[in-house]
Order: sequence, then C-alpha cells, then structure tokens
Amino acid sequence: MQAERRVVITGAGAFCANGEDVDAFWQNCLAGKGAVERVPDHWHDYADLRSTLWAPLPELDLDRLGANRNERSQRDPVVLIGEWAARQALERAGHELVMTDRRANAFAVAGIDAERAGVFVGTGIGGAHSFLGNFSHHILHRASRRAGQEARFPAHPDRFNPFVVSMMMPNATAAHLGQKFTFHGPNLTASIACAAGTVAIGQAYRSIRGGEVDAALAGGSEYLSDDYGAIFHGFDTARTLVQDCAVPATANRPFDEKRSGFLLAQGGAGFLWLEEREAALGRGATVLAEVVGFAQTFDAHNMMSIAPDGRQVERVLRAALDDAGVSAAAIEYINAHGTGTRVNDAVESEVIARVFGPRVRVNSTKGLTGHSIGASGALEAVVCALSLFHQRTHPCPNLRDPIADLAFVTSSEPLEMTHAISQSFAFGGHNAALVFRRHG
Amino acid sequence: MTTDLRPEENNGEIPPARGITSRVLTVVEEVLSLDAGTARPDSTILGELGADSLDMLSLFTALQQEFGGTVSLDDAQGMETLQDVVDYITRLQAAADAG
Repeated sequence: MQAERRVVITGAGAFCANGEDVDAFWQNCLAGKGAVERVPDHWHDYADLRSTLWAPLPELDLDRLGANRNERSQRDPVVLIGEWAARQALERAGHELVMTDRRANAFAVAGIDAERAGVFVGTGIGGAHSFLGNFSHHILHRASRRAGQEARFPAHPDRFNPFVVSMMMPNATAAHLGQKFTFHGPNLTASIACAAGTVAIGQAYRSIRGGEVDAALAGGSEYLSDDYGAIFHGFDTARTLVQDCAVPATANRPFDEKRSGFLLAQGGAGFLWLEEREAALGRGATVLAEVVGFAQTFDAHNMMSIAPDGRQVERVLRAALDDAGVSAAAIEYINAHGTGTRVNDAVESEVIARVFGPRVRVNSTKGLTGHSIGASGALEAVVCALSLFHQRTHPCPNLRDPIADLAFVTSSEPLEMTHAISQSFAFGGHNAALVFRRHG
Repeated sequence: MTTDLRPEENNGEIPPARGITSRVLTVVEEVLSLDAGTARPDSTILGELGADSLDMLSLFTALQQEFGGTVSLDDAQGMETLQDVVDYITRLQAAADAG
C-alpha cells in the first residue's frame, strides 16, 4: 500500500500594508505594528465617505522584481504584487530560478518537474483596477477633448490599454505565475472574496496530497485601489468599514467591544510554496510547517453577512479537524478571520468557544494588515506557518475590552504549539479552514 | 515615460530624426528584450527582430507611451524596417507640432 502523501510548506512570501517582504511582514507583526492612514483627499470629491481610513501598501520596487517594460504596462498591480510574493516563496524555499526565455522574462525552477507543478491563486476582484482605469478613459477622454480645455474633467489615463482584457481577468495572476515560472500543472483561480486565499491553499494541498502534482505555488493576491476610490466606496456604502476615532491607529480593533468595522487594505499578496514532503526532505529543504487539513462549507444565508447561528462555521472547523485527523483539543492556536465587524467577531468568537473552549490562543492578523480580501487568508496562512516554525505569534492589536472570554494573544511571546488553524469567511457565505502542524 | 508630444530638449521645435531614431531603437530593444545596440534602423521588424503580431502590439503601445499622441497599430501596415517606424513617428511629431 502506498504511503500517504504529506504536504509541507518550504517557502513563504508576502507583500502587504505592514511589510514589503515576508521578513518585514513577520517582524512588524511580532512588533504589533500595523498600517493605518487617511484615504486620499480627492476621493472625498466623488463620494460622501463614512470611513476615512485604510491600510495603504508600500511602493512595489519593480526593479527589484525584475519587471520588464512590457510587464510594467501590461500587468495589473494585482499580478505584480502577486509575483513578488510568489518569487519570495520560491527563493526562500531554496530554489534557483533559471531564465529560459528572455523576451518573455520567464524562468524555470531548477530541480522541479514543471509538468508536476501547479499554481493556485485566490483573488476577490482580480484586475478591477485596470478595468476601472480604462473605463474612465473610455467615458471621459473624447468627452473632455470635445469640451475643451476650460471644462474640468477628472484626470484619467491618456490611452486605452490594448492589453486590458488580460489585465482585468481574475485569472491573470495565476496565468502570469504559470508563465513566469513555466509550470505546466493545474493553474487555478479561486475567486471567493475573503476566503479566496485560504481556498487556493486548500486546493493546492489536496492536489499534492492526491498525487495530481508534487509542488505548487499557492496563495492570494488582491489590489483594491482605483484612482477615484470607487472600490473603497463600494465597501464603505455597505457599511462594513472601520469608523474614525480620536487616535486612528487604534481604530482597527478586532474582537474589541469598541470595534466598528474592518480596515480595508489597499491590497496584499501572500504565497506559500507547497511540496510533497518526501521530495522536499530529499532535496534538503527547510520545512516551515505541514498542511494537514482543509475544509469548506457554505452558509446559504446572506451575500454580505455571516449567518448568525454560526452553524456552517462550526461545521467547517470540525470538518477541517476531521480531515487533519486531530481533535479540537489538539489545536493550540487559531488565526481567526477577525475582521473587526460587529457581526463577524461576535459569531466567530462564539463558535471558537463552542468548538475549542476558552484555552486556545486566538489572534487576528487583519488587525495589523487591514483586510486584503482575497489575499487575507494567504497572509494568515503565512503567519500560521511562521508561528509554528518560530513557536511565537503576534499580538491581537488594540484589544482592550475583549468581547468574549477567549485566550486572545495580547503580546508577542513564545508559544508552544503543534497545531494551528486559519479560518476565513467570505462575502457570499463561503467558509474555509486550514489546519497546520509543526514539522519535525 | 512621457506623454508630451514636444520633447523638452527640442523646445517645441520639430524634433530631429536622429533623436527619434535613438529613442525608437531603445524602445524596440526594451520591448523585444534585445541587447543594447542590436536594433538598427535597417533591421527588419518581422524578419531579423523576430517580432510577431503581439510583439507589434506591445511595440506600438510602448511607442505611444514614449511619444504620446495617437500612435496606432493600424498604421503599422506596410512597415518593414525600424526606419519605417522612425519615419512614421517623425511625421506624427511634425504634424503635432504644426497643428
């Protein structure tokens, strides 16, 4: 009988509001350092925004990325930040990238069977940034020329990008990564809002465990900004976003009685390099953690709000535990969905108490990164892997008056743990959970 | 990247073809990932440089970024060498300057 195939994480990469790479991200998380700023002033010209805060991204260094002229003009930012995080994951896993096609700026990953390597990417809105930019050109450019120089028209791109279709399509990041690293295995995009990154990693885990591939890039990428703040307006008008307070840095406060909504991030990207365990050990790779369980359920309740009874959240957690073959008592750490909305945190904390009891340690990475929607689950999986590897995790920021009697992590401290869970609940009603195990 | 049809160094005068040639060759080398100095005015675009139709789309997108105005792929019909591209850009620049 063939031995069960196990799946390990040997590389991680990140790009988000509180870190331009995975090292800065992890150090800032441990330091409890998040990112909160005012939205751009001119956005207020277009809408009466209830929320005025977001978590902006650092500048992506395109020279460091190695992006050529074509990539800079023919790729949406969601693709480029995704590549940056994915490249980190591969390089930190110890893989050498060998250029195979200079014109395409494409590489082979040395030592990898390209036909047995896959790409699994989560995203909520894909290249909406490119769509909106070209849409503004489409409706404004001729009109502004006809109206003459005296008329005031909003600034807009001076050309319609002929590559806009390949920039806006949700699968652009996955396709770009497959081309960039010449992977010929399954190349999938999970567009499942806030659970997308978690689902992408779960699907990659299943693909490796089931023998479909031997290795995979898995994670999420999201870019939530446009020139006029329309994407922000969409979340704001749904009354989901954090409200201002006297000290904006303390506005983002998951699981606190004074929470007022989630802090929207400008975007983010997180990627893991997953490998079949024997192959990883055979090449001498350092294992960060093992993926041992995954499950999904669906609320069938409401497009914008989690079901208040939490039944499908409870079911997804119990199913993920079953998949991992461990009991709830074996879980020492939960990286919660923890958005900071009134409803999510209330339901989530009740379910955690019901399934795991009051002793499991709980934190929210979104309290530091803001909510990067399709990338959030992937960044939180990166946190789980690093927490298990370093046996330390980050504080739940701005938590002064907890809404539940749970063991929230309030400071960065050593934490002995063997199993961790990352859970994500998405607009639409999708629930997903991953179980990780310390390796070695 | 500039979207100004009047390059600064020319103070709005009709730009000399040699300046345009240099910039076109640089854009071509960047778009097609060629070594510096590889592209010459007499290089054939589809033959020696090996460009395909998508490369042409990339090239004309980049030329529009570089020179602004209304550089159009529709105008590429019949262009064989990079000198044809230089002549085309020179005509556009002169027309923009005159008009």
